[in-house]
Amino acid sequence: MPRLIALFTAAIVLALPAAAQAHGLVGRRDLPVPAWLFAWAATAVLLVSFVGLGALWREPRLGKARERRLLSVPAWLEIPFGLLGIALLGLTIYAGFAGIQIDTANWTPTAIFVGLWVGVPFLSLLVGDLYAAINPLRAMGRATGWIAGKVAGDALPAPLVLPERFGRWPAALGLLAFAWVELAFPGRGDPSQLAVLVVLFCLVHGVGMSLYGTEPWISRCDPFAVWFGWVATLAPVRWDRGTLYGRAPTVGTAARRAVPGDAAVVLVAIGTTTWDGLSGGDLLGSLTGDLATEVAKTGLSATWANAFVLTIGMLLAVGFVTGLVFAGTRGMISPAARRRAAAEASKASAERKADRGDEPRDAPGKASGAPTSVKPRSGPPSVRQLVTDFAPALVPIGVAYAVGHYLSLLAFQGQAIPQLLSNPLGRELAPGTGGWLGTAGWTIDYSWLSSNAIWYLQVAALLTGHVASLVLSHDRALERFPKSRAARSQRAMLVVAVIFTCTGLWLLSAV
Amino acid sequence: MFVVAHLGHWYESVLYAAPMVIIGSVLWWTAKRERDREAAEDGWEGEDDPQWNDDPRLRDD
Repeated sequence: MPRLIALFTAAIVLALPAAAQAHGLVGRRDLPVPAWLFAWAATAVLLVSFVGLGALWREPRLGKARERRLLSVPAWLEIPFGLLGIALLGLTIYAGFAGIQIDTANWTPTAIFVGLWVGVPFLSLLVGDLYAAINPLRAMGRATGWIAGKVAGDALPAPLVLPERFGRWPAALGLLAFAWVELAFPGRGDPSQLAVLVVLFCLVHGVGMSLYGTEPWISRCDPFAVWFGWVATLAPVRWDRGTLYGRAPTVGTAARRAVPGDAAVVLVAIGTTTWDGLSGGDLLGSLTGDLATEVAKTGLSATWANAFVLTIGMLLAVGFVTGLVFAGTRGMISPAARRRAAAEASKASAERKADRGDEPRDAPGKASGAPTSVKPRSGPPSVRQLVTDFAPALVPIGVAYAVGHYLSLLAFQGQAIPQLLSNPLGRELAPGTGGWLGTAGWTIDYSWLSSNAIWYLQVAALLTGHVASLVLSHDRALERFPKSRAARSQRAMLVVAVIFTCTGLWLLSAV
Repeated sequence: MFVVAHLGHWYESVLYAAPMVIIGSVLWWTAKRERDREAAEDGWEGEDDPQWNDDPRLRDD
């Protein structure tokens, strides 16, 4: 808890001078009450939820919830969906190289940063794991495997086995790399450079799939498959081999067990979105510019100096979010349990030393330094293990941050998708022609969603996400801790949820 | 003068931070009281009072 308090105090101290940069931010919305009051109201809702959960939710329920079979679709539908994914990927690469090199007029940047990064997870919240159906890497991997099997038959070597210790860490690193491209890479608005990166991405994953098998590789190393897969666990439906099952929202998240690396995927998603909010608005805009100017004095070009500052900021944001979650998770274990574990570890260590000291080094039948019979009794798990176990509870926070941050981008820039699909290369069209789909002349309507409506939707998303996180965390605590301790173990997580909520609202209020 | 000129913005941020400070302080104080009480009662929860339900089924992917 002291660590949590220290972190949280540091956050506030860091936040204050940053806010001083927040000029010209008022007047966009016409809210009936000051925006900061929403943070207070959200905190009250979280507090009431926490108390209500402790009083009324006494048994783990989400893991036992049933699903209902809704409908089945023919298995061959996988093929057209896979082909659609491959076609979109091909178009993205082709348009990047052959199209006009203006980010808003070319299909590639919008396809990657709006369609894939924002559109797919938003849709997955409604229809289930959409990306699993249209994932072009999976489709190509499966097709290649099928063809290779037909050609080579039994001569095809068995795939290698991915080491268990890797968990889903490769996916977390991949997500961090994508976030870097989105937030710091100087060429992020250059379609041809993005196309090169997409080709590299396909090559890396193509080699990985050919060595380790399509499904093992995709399920653990494809950053989009892993993150969007977690997002889809919140959906009220689930697809499984052509059958659609209905369920209550969050049931899927509670039912899925995390492996090492899953928590990192979610923390990267939260941390990078936080940094996007901080650096994209006026809060830190001038500060990062000033820092980049200082860095440029070392001889680095202005462009890369800016990228360097943005990279450091992004890593700091991910580190801060990670530290906050680790501090909150550490608070789940009672001080008495920590003392007991430390005492037992110390006792076991002393006994091992004593054993080694008493025993001749060349004693028959036992190698020097081999494990002894003294084992510490099963105690509380490590904080890292707890973070992994409770990682699913962080998913709604990641989704809430994404919805809050990217809602307006999808609402407005998302309208450019049909227009760009009809004219992906951004070429000059003759007047009256609508391009491939007849939608090239469509324009973006900025008036269909008011600033107030966006704000209320953002607040609702943040609040829903954090309440869902409290519910998931509480339910998991009931599974993992004695009932007498479960609710108490979640107090630190309540503080974490309040910090995330208020920080999220603060970031959104300044955009 | 720079700081004074920006007090308006600082004030806004403090209002966002206030709920965190209040909730954090209250829970920290509550936890501290419990820790002190546990220490006064020897703080040992006994062999048969596990803090952790070590259920191997929950380790599955």
